[in-house]
Amino acid sequence: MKMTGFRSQQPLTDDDFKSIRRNVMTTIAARRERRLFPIVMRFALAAAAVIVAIVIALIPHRQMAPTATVVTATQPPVVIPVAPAPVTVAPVAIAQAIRPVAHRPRHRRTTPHIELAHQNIRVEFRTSDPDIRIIWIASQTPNTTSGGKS
Amino acid sequence: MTAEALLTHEVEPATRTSATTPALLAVIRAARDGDERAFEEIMLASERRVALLSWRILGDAEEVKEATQETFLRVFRHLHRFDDQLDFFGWLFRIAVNVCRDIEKRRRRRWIFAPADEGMSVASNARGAHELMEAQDDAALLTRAIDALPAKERLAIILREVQELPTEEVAAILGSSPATVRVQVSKARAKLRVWIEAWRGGAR
Repeated sequence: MKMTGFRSQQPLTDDDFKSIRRNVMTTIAARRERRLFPIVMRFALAAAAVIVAIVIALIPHRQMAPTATVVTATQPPVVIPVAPAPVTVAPVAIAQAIRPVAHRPRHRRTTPHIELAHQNIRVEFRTSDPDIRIIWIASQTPNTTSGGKS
Repeated sequence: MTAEALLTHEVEPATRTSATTPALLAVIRAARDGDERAFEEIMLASERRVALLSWRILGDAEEVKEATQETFLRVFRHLHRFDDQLDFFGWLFRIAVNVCRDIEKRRRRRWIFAPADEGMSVASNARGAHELMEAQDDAALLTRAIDALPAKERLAIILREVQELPTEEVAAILGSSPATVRVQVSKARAKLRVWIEAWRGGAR
């Protein structure tokens, strides 16, 4: 007898081998299915990420669209009682630029400021005496909103 | 037959594993590409050799089934790592031996934690050593003697002398050097010789 005689008889039958093969193939198929699921999930997540990126890219453009509006307001006549007789101030049309919102780009601000620099407000007070008039001229500069008296 | 003759036979080169044949290599490549039928062919071609190796290491039919199944599952999982230049059966045996080692480790844990009676029944079922002792023939003696060897020496002698694999391949399977394998096989032979002589002497 040789050493090869050590447990030389096959312990498993044909049915055993068939069962082993079936189990192995079933397990492999199950693992493949399990592996396929994360791949599908990965694709779904990638698609969702692309959609979100597109939406994010579009939203700022909508916000950056020029929204600057210049509102021209006409002030009603101001009546200031200076003397016994009422003083009528002539209506002065003021084209006022409404300052843009805080997050607006800086270059958009420049245009209204330039317009303001050239605007002068002229208020004329008429007294009961036609020879006495009080004229108040206010010049608006970009840095100051109050004008000087002249 | 003397114990000396029993242990010093020549290894037959014809039974050694050789490089992977082109036909098998083609099937392996197909299986690697996801062809399940090809993988089944690999199983058909190698399952008996895997089962016999597991049987020699484990000595329990139920564990052999488990080991064979787990071996092929690991083969499928790691088939992409197989180097075409290497011998497929050497690679396959390495996986099978690792699976058997894992099962043996688990079995040892089961023996440690199982109640005394259960542990004894597991041991006796697994080895059938008592029945083999009663038979008093060469095969029974050899089985009992090999099973009694330390794990590393037992694996070395099973792979080298029983499976008749080349020393280099045994070393690769066990993850040690050929010199270590030679020493382990030599020690195992010496122990087997002593034990078989002693048992035969005791039986007379």
